[in-house]
Amino acid sequence: MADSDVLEIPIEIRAHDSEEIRKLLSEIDAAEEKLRSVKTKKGTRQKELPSTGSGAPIKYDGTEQDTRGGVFSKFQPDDVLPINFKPKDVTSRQPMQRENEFKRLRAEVERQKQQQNIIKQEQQKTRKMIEPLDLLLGGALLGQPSAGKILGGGKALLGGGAGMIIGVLGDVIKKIIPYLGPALIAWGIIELIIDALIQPGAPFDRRWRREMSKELANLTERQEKQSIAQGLRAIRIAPYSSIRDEAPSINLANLRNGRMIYNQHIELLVKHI
Amino acid sequence: MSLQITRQRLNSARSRIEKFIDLHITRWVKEEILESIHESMRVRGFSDNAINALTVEKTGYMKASLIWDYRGPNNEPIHFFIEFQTHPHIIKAKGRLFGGADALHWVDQTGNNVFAKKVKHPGTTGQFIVTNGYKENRNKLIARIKQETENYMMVEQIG
Repeated sequence: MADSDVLEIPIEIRAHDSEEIRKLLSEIDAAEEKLRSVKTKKGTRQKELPSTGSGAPIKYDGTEQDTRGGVFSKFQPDDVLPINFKPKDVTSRQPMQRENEFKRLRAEVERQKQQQNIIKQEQQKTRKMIEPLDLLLGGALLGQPSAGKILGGGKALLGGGAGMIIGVLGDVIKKIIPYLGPALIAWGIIELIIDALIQPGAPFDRRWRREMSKELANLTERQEKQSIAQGLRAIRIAPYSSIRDEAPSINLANLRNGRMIYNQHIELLVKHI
Repeated sequence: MSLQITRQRLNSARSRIEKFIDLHITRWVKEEILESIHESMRVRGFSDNAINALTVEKTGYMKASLIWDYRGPNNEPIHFFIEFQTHPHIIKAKGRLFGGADALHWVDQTGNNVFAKKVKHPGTTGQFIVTNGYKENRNKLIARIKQETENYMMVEQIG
């Protein structure tokens, strides 16, 4: 907005077309309102309400459908609702609806029973699957001497189940034990010998040893090396080959030749001070 | 259902027309009213500063204003003095103590310097240049808006 002490002539546009549209809209509103009132008269209260006579409140029987929407709408059976969503029972007088604890416990017990049954069934299925294999192993898997039954009830060949396997293993171990002790002692002696051979100073010393013949930088003169060591030359490390390599230290060279490496007057002159 | 669609279409058409007018109102006012007033000011011999001080500003939705803010060196609202009349009044010298001169000075028609402590100003008659300019050109603006809106509706296939 302009200030109050300036000359202002306001111009406001009120489009004629816009006014016409407004009128049309208001006519549509009126028509809709009429239509709604006609629908209400026709659609609702077709069934006569039960007469109470004594003035008692009319009981809602749940048959009449409420056509109101929004916050007044009630849940219909066909409504799409979120999973596990339980709408409030509108016929109930309780303000809050709680679940019955007894029913909940009973359901839990039933659920656990079902789970146990499923586990049992799975076990039986597995048993049936590995039974042929168990027959061959003499009942080692299922712990029953079923093979013995098949072969006449004796322990002759496959009888004994798990006991037979342990027996076989025991025999093998018994045979190995006499050789096991000397073998271990021999391995210990060999280890001692190897350690003695590779220890520091021994012929097969494993440590890293310097070989001076390989360390010599033959392409660098001793003079250059010395100048680098004294800081008279610098080694520049850069990704660009043109500026990489050794470079003379100009400041040190100047210093050695008696030239001034910093002059305050020149500095001020350059900075126009 | 059909009523709802009709309502939606009408609402959409209305908002589009209004937005179109709102978008171009400043330009139309400039072209139809402001330029005419500027021309008449030039004819009457107004200075460029006085002419350029009259502008168009957008003041709201589908609203614009002709604003004239022409001031003197001491922030005097000269636009009011030109537009409306001024009553007869006395002009006094400001005085050195208050940052001015002790006497008023001007050159008369014969070329002589004239000094005076105070003078009697007879007052001025109002020129109503902006007000009359707006009244004269308002119909042009209305016609322009009509024409532009009709063109827009034809292009956008409204109605």
